[in-house]
Amino acid sequence: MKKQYLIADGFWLVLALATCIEAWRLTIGTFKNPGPGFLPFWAGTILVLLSLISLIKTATEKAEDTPSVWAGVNVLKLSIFVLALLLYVALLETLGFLLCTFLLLIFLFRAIEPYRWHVVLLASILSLAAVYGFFVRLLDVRLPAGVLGF
Amino acid sequence: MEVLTQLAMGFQVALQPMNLFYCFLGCLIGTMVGVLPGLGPTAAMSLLLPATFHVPPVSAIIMLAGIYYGAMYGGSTTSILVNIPGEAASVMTCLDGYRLARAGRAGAALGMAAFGSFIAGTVGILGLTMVAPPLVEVALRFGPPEYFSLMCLGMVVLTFLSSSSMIRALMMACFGLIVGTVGTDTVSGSTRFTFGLMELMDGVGLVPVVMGLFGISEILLNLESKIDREIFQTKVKGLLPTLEDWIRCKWAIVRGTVIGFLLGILPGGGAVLSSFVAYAVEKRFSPRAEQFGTGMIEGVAAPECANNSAAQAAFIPLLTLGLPANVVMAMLLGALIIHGVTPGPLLISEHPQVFWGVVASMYLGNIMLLVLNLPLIGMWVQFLRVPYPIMMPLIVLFCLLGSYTINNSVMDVFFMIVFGVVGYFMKKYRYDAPPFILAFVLGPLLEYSLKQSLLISKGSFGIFVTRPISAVCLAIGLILLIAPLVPRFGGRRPGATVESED
Repeated sequence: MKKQYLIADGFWLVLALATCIEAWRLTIGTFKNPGPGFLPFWAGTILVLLSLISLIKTATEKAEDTPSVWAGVNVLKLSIFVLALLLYVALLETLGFLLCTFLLLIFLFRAIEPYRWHVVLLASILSLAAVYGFFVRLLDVRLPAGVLGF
Repeated sequence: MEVLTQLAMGFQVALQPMNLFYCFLGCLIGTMVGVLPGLGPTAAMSLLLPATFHVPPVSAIIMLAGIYYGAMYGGSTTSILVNIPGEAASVMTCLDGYRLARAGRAGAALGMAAFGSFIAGTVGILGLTMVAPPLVEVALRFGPPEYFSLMCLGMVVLTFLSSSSMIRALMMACFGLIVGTVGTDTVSGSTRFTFGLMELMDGVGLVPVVMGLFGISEILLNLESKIDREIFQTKVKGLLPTLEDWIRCKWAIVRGTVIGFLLGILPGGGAVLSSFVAYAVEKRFSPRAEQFGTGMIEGVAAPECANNSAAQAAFIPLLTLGLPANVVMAMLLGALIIHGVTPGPLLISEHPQVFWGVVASMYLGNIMLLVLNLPLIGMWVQFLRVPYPIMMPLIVLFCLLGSYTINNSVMDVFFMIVFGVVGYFMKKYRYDAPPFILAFVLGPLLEYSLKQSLLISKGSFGIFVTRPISAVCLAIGLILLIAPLVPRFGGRRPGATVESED
């Protein structure tokens, strides 16, 4: 759908403008003495021009009868998945790697196919054990201990 | 010929049981490191460096070198199987490699990557043996203006990487340049776009970005609707490339190897740039350019050959001039110095057994890697048979661990998720990731070269056209940009889908 591509191009335009403004604030400098904002400003400017060209191109094209890019997409499922990951990040250092990852794995193993609980628990424990054994015991990688203490 | 005599001496050194053992160990660790996320060859080398203090310098370097080119072999495995590049040089392998795997041809893709890497690696070592000194002379003439022009040429090449419009590819490149500036500006010391976050002072890491853009976004795409189980349980057709594959790839292998070797000698981003350029060149010359990205075996052969021959070529500046071409080479330089061997023009004359021993071990290492990787193909292909609902959580775990363990920072995991969402939207609205990645990786070097050049020339852009190598790069770039727009030269850019089908 044309409108969706217009919104996408509009997003890049806004991002580019914001970049230019921030780069100007950082000091663009001169060609003789480029400042920290030099490259971001010019990259942002080119992006502004390209977004405008893309916007105009999309706006003037014949409207196609193509389906929406969101047709058939379970947006709720995707949002829950992303939220689960963000929650994992937020709680990782508090709950610790083992507990946090265990909870996430249980969620993920049931996310696509609702496997029975004993399958989910077994798969979660096995994956966690393998990862812990390899990364922590063998490779001595530090992972957050959290409330469990290890 | 003196070179052959020296090489024979090198083999005598390399074939000693202890050196053979260290070579094998390096290759094995390198392959594992390439496959596993987050653990780059640099990390592995730094962990193992103390273990080498009690062995002779030759053995130490043989092992450390093995880790490096072994990692190049391993990096392609995850690219092909789960669309997650092992490192930046394997990003292009994802495009066609993963599609081949989804079509049941993972074995052919993995096999072509292994064989192609072997051929390219061997040719690279031959190059290292024969033409190192004169090539280094040319490489030394690359100053900031030449680097800037070369990076610009690389950016133009980006337009051939895109399956959608040129404008979109350039937009993504600009976005990549901007994201690449996040962090502390090395020249002025001021922070850019950090939003007050300390974790952003060093910029956004490559691993979280790549894992997010490729790994997480792919998972999001697969989660969109009810999974059609048929897609993920395609019958595996054959474990190795067929004769037809070899015939199709013969020029891809040659071109990829040459491009990789020439670009690999240049300091900074050699293997990364060469894999992108090799893919783009292959697409440009292919009669089936529009099929690139859908599962073309040449799309695996070209970047894999390029990144392996570049890995070998990266040793040339180090061993002949003592100049490290990248971070890994800098580590090797440090290791050599610790062992009392100073690389440079005198290395060959003062420590011939080190130079020729390492070169000879590379030949052996490449054979070992081929022998190690080929039987593993069968194992990797079995991995693909695991049902996706079981595999997905493991891939997520893989990504989470990979991004966390770089700096033990949850912010890296957070950025990975952010770029996962960004990558998902990019895929939905058909903005390609490769131009973004290349610009993101090259951006800092491009900016540095630009600033240095303008400082040298006191603000004049003339410096880019008065210096011959720089002028040539810019001219080629201009021709590549304009040629598709001139109907006489073929009109439509190869590989672009017809605009009205968008």
